[in-house]
Parts: sequence; structure tokens; C-alpha cells
Amino acid sequence: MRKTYIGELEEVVLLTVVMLQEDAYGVAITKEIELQLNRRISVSAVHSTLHRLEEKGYADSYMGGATAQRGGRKKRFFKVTKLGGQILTEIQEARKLLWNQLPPNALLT
Amino acid sequence: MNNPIPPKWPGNLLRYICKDHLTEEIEGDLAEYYADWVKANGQTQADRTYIWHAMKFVRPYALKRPQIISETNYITMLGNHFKLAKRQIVNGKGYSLLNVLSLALGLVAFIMISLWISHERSIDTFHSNQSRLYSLYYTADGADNTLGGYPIPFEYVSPQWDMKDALSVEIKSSIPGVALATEYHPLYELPWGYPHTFQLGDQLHKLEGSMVNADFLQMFSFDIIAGEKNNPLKTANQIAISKRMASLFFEDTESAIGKTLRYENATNLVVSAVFDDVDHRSSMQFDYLLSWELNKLGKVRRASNQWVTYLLLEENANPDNVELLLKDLLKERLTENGEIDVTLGMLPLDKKQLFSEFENGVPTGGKIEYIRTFSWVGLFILVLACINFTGLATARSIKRAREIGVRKVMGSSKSALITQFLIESTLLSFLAMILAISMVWLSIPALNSALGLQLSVPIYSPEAWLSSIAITLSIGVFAGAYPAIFLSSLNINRVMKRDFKFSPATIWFQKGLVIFQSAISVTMLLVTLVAYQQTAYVKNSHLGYDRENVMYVTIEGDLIDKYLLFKNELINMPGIAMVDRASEAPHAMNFEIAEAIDWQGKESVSKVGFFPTSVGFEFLDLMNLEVINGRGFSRSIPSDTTAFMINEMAVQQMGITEPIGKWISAWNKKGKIIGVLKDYHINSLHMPIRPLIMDVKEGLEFGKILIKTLPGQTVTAIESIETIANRLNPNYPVEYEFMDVEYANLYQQEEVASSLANIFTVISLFICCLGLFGLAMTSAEQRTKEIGIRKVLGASLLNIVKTFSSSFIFLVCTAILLATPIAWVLLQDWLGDYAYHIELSWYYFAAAALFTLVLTMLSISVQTVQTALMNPVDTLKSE
Repeated sequence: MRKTYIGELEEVVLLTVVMLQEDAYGVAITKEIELQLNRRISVSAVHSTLHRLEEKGYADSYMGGATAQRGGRKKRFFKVTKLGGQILTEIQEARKLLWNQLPPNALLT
Repeated sequence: MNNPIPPKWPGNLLRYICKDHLTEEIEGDLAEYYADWVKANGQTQADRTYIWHAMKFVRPYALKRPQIISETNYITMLGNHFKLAKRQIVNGKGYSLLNVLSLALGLVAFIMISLWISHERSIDTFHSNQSRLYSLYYTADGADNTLGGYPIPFEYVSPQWDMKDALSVEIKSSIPGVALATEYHPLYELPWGYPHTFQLGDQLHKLEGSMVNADFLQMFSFDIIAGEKNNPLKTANQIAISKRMASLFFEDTESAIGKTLRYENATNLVVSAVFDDVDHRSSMQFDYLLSWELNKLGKVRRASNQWVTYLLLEENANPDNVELLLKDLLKERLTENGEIDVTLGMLPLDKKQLFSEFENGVPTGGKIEYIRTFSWVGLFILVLACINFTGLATARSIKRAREIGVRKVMGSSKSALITQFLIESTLLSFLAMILAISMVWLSIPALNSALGLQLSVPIYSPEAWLSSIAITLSIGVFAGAYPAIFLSSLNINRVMKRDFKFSPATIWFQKGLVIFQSAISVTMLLVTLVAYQQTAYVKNSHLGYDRENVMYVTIEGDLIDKYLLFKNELINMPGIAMVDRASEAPHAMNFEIAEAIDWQGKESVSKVGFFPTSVGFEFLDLMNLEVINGRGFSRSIPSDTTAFMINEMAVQQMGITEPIGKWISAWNKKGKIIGVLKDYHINSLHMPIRPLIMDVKEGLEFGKILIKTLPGQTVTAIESIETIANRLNPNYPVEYEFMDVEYANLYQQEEVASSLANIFTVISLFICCLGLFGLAMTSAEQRTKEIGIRKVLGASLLNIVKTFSSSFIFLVCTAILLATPIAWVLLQDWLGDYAYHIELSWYYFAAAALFTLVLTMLSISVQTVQTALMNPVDTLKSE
């Protein structure tokens, strides 16, 4: 099977989902990315990325945790699937492989 | 308030356009952010940010797939509508049956009329050059009156009676734009025509044929299937025959070519071509075509001295220009006729048989009037049926009011309800259409044979199917629209509380429908009644002569010379009472004398259009004609061979007071008037009495031999005639006609029209009764309680029936009052076409009114009595 492509934003979002564990939903993910990477993404962009990941089978979601702050509406929590974990590891491995082969000081100018 | 609320509309919008399972989390997340934004920037700014971010959710992944989702829903609902419609129809079997039946009957009438009209309109339209074919007509403007007709009297074409002067030849050579032209003369038509005789060996056949110019077969699409295709009639001795005629004489069509047939025991003709049998959609019917060249040689016995001329224009010719050039073509020739001014006009071929009647010398009416009338009748019956449909559905809505209430409570939208009702009505109208088509299909053969028509159901014509589907759909929508809108807009609260009543507007709508419907039915009933009376009057009125037990045969072949021998031998045969002769069949005289006739005491200007007939000595006795002044012809007075008799009308128009003994000069002979005949009808009652002039000529080479048979001995008489005729005239087969049958045939068009009118009246009355019955049914249902209370309070059965019926009677009476003047005007107009007709009297109207009222009572009585007999205990406890 041809490997499904995963984009940079998707990778970031998926990593954040993994990182946030039980608290991975739209607002939390957006805020976490902003906090950690100082990168401002609109909530709608995060949403569409999450749903794309779900479509591709890298993430899974379930509803829960309504709060008064949300006007009594439920959150959609995301968690990474086995396939999602695999692809993240693969990306990491691939990078490691390439990094290890860089000649020393090659990036210094 | 610690929880600021974001604006509502972006959320609503998102809910409307985004996938349902996404909206909750989106709104939730946005709300969470909103709280932050309010804290950070204040509510106004936060609102703006909120809207901005909400809008950004309008992106493909979040949007609903609107088409797919609503379409499946729509289809499901449609299926549901059909299921419910089916249940409704099955559930109210009686109602559905009434409704479908009345609509189907209306459609039957409509379809039959459409078929008839399209058949009539298709006549003469099958020629490939059809759009360029024209028929000429003449307009003769005389001193007293203007006459016109398609056959042009030859004296207008050639005052010198030179047979070489064919009008078609001159038109073709002198008028630009005319490609081809021909004369057409059917040899079997009135006044003197009859089927001519052909012989091959010992085979003898009498056949009806025509005489044409050489261009004829090139102008019209009568396909030549064997023989010479290009110009089969260029010489006098050539003849083209039909496939049918070929099969009478020869083994097959090919072997007919080049063979010789003996025509009228005088001329030998060579078969040059065989054409396919003439289509029944052709107004020209013939089994053979003779060449006009034969006529020039004087070898054809013409049926009259006038014939039709047809033109084929060139493709780019302007018909108006051609007509303009044609107009005065004959004018110069008639200088010696002086007072008559003859002009020519032309009419497209396919219009010719629709416009057969002339008024002031131009074609104005004829069959087209029947077509127009029946188009209206068909439309009216269809409207009647639709009204019935609407009325019944509206009335039935009482029963369905609660159903609608429940549906509305369950959340059905108004448009869904309307769709539901329209589907129901369309389904019913489809059922009706199927029923109607099968009824028409089954009854067409019977109708054709009863009325002498040649209608067929166009089962292979896609147009016919498409138009019937279109009609069905529009009936479904048209007839279902009112109940659909009315029912779907009922107020739920009142319906569910059983506090449901028709609004006054609806009641008036219903009443109006009933009145309209009944008015149409009453009008049709009246028209049929009067038409029937008129037809009966025409058929049974005393014409001034006896037409019972009279037969006639044509004088032809050896009978011309052996007439007296024939007469003397036949008179002694069994079954024969009297034998005599006349130059035209006495019941359908058609020939008006063209030459001027002189008489003693004639004022120089007066010109009388005499109808001449030459008879034998016993004619008056045979016909039982009454002589009111003077005496009849007598064989014992030798001078009677030059004597004349005239009728009362002639005396009146000639302007003489003492006619007996005065001389008349006509046909190169001068003689005395010996008697005056009481006026009798010499043609159908369409034609007023005309001046008649009668003399004795026993040696005339044309005419009919009249044979009076003894009552009840027709068969013996026919055997006698055949014996004598076969012996004296062996080269001609015997053909005889019965005068009373032929007289009735003069009214064939009326006969067909009145039979159709009868059928349609019955249909419309039936539809009307069904409507009343349905209305009574629902009205009774609605009023059960009222009737129960009345009964409890002591009303008798009669009282209740009276109360109940009076409203219906009132409606029908109004309809009768409305219909009477309309029918009166229509009937006066129609009766005006007859020179002799019945008078419209009040009792026709009274009879129609009474009949309608009785029918109304019958239609509603079943329901009324049934309701009146119900036990009030049952009707009142149902609360």
C-alpha cells in the first residue's frame, strides 16, 4: 500500500495530540501549539487538520466533557491511533537516519 | 453576568450549512475562545473575532453535502406519498370509483372527439406536395345572388362549349408560379353520375372512377406500383387502375399492364399503370383514372358539366400573387353573358373539404363548423369531469381533515401536503386515463361501423402518447389544485377539536361548480333533444311524394334504346307495381338549368333558376305527386310530348297568374303548360323548394328508371329486375338503389353528428349525476347529527328528505335558468341552417328541466333516504 502523505502541520497537530494525552481537543491543541511553538493557527485550521487526520486513520475521536464555559456543548477529544503512532515513529526514524549521516559541522557556515 | 454570550447568527448559520456532527464541537470551541477574547479585548472586539473565526469554518471539510442528503429524503418522501395515495384510493373504494369513472368518461368523450377531429383534419394531408396544392373555386356574381363552388361550370370556362378549352392547360401556360394543373371530374357523382362498367372477356364490373388531366398523377401522391410511372394518361385510350380493380380482372398487378379493358361497351382502353388503392384520407376516391383526352373525343358520359381544377404551385411561388393573376382569368370570356361576373379564387387543398359551403360565393363553412362545435363539446366535457373531480375531492376533505391535522402535528410541511394531494389526484387521473384509453380502444370498432367512420387509435404514435401523458398530468394538477391548497391550509387547532366547517368561500366554490356543471349538462341535453326532434322531423316529414317501395336503376348501355321494351316487360313481372323514368333521381335533384328559359308574359329582366326534369308518362302516379291545377301528362294526348308542368314555386317566381295554357320555351322546344304541381321536395330539407319544370322525354340517353315494387315483395321484385335487365342489357351488371335509403343518406353528416351528440350528452349527464351523488354523499355525512336532532324533535321522513334535497334542487334550478337562454340562442342558430325546421317551443325546455330535476332527485335520493332512516340514537351518541 502506498504510504499516505502526512504534512508538516498535520505532523505538528498529531504530535500535540499525543503530547496532550487525555486533554486533546480543538482549543487545547491550538493553545498548546501557540504556547510551545509560538505559532498562531486559527481554530478552524486546526479543526480541519484534525478531521483530515481522522479521515486518514491517524487519529480517532470521541465526544465528552461538556463545560459551562462552552455553553454546555461537548468537546471532541482526539487520540492517536496505532497507525498514527507508526507514521510519527517512521518520520522520526527517517530523520534520525539522515541526521546521523550528515558530515560533522556540515550545517555551520 | 459572568458568561458573555456570543452573537447567535453565526452559530445558526454554521448549524445550517455544516455537517451536523461537527457543529457541536465547533460551537463549543468557539464559545471557549470567545470567553478568552472577551477577557482580552472586550466584548465588541470579541464579537468581531468570533464572527471572523466562525466564518472561517465555512470550508469544504465542514460543509454538508446538501444535494445528496435532501435528494434521498425527497425520493423517500415521494415513495411515501405514493404509498399513502394508494392506501387512500383503496380505502375509499366507492369514492375512488366514482371519481375515476367520471373522469374516465369525460376522457373517453375527449379522446373520441380528438380522434375524430384529427382524422377529419388529416384528410388530403398525405400528399408530399401538400403545402403547394390548391383547389380553385369560382364566384359568380349575378344580378340577384352570388353563387360559388369548387367545380367550375363549363359554360364559364368555355361559353362555346369547346371541349378543347381545358382551364388547367390555360392556367399552366399563362400564369407564372403554377407548376402543374389538372381537372378532376368524378364520374359517379350527382346529378347524372353512376359507376361505369368495364369488361374483360365475360367479367363485368361496375366501378367508380374519375377523369383527370395528364398532370394529375405527378401532382398528387397516388403511388404508381406498376406500369408507366411518368405520364400514364397522355393519350385518350390509356387508363390507370387501382390495385383493387386490377385484382378484380387480373391475376396480379404486373400482368394488368398493357391489357385492354372494354369501357361502357364502347371503347377499348389500355391499362398503362396500376396505382395503390386510394388512401381513405383522400377526399378524391376512385378506382380508375380516365384521360381527359377521352373526354375531348366525347366518349365519356360526364356526371355533370362542371369540374374541379387543382393547381400545384412552384416551390418559390407566392400564392397571393397567383391568386391575384387568376382572379379575372374568366372575365373576358363572358362578355355575352352580360350580367354574370365570374371570378376565380383558390384555397389550399386540405382546407377544401373543411370549407365545403359557400356564402356569397366564397367558402365559409361546412365540416369546419362541426369540428369547432365538437372541439367545444369535448373541452366542456373534460372541464365537467375535472370539476367533478375537484368537487368530489373537496367534499371528501371533511373525512380527511383529521388526517391532515395529525400530519401537521407530526411536522408535515404545507408543501409536502400539497405534493401529497397532487400525487393522489394525478394517480387517480392516470387510472382514469388508462381506463379511458381501454374503453376507447374497445369501443372504436363498434363506433366506426355504427357511424361509418374510419377512426383508429394511434397506438404507435409517440405524439399521441406524449400528449395523453401531458393531458393526464395537467388534469391531475388542475383538478387536484383546489383541494390540495384548501386542505393543506386547514387550521390544525380547529380540525383537531372537530370544530371543522367549510368556509363560506369554499361552500360557494362547491356550489358554483355544481351549477356550472349542471348548466353544461342541461344545455347539452337540450341541444340533443332538439337535434333529435329535428332529425326525426326531417326523416319522417312528408316530402310531397312517396319514397317507400321505390327502387331505381341507371339508364345505360342498351337500356338507352330499349327503355320502353324494358318497361313493358318488367311491368308484367311479379312484384312490380309501376315503372317509369326521370332524368335525375327525384329525391336528390341537383342540376340548375343554366340557359335562359322564356315564357309567355315574361318580364325581360326576370331570370328564374329552374330545376329541370324529364320524366315518363306515369311519373306522377308512381311518385304520387299532387296536381293542384290543370292535369298531368297523358300518353293518349300526342301534344303532351311538348307540354310542360311546373310547380307552385315556379308559378310564383315566374310572376304569372293563369299558368295553364301559357307557353314555355326551353331546350329548343316550345309547349304549353298543362298543369301545376303541388310543391314537393326535390332534395334534402337543407334546400328550400325551388322552381321546377317538367316535361316528357322517354328517349333521353341518361337518367334513372324508377321501379315501384309491391309492398312486401321486394325480393321478388329484385329477381324480376335482374332477369329482365340481364337479358336486355347483358353488357352491364345490374345495380339498384332504394330511394328511401338514399334519401336518408343525404343526412349522413347530421346522422353522425347527432349520434355523437347523443353519446356525449349521456356521458355528460352521467358525469353530472355522479357529481351530485358524491356531493350528496358527503353532505349527508356532514349533516348526520343535524338530521338526528331533527328526528328527535319529531321531523318526519318526508320533512327531512325535503330539507335535504331542497338545496340541491335550488342549485340545479339555477343551472337550468342559466342554461336555457344559452341553449335557445345556440339552437336558433343551428335550426336556421335548415330551410325547413321545427319550431323551438317551451315544452322542449320544460322536458329538459324536468328530466334534469328527476335525475337530480334520483342521484341524491339514495343518500338522502338512507340518512333520513338512520336511528338518531346512533348518530347522536357518537360524541
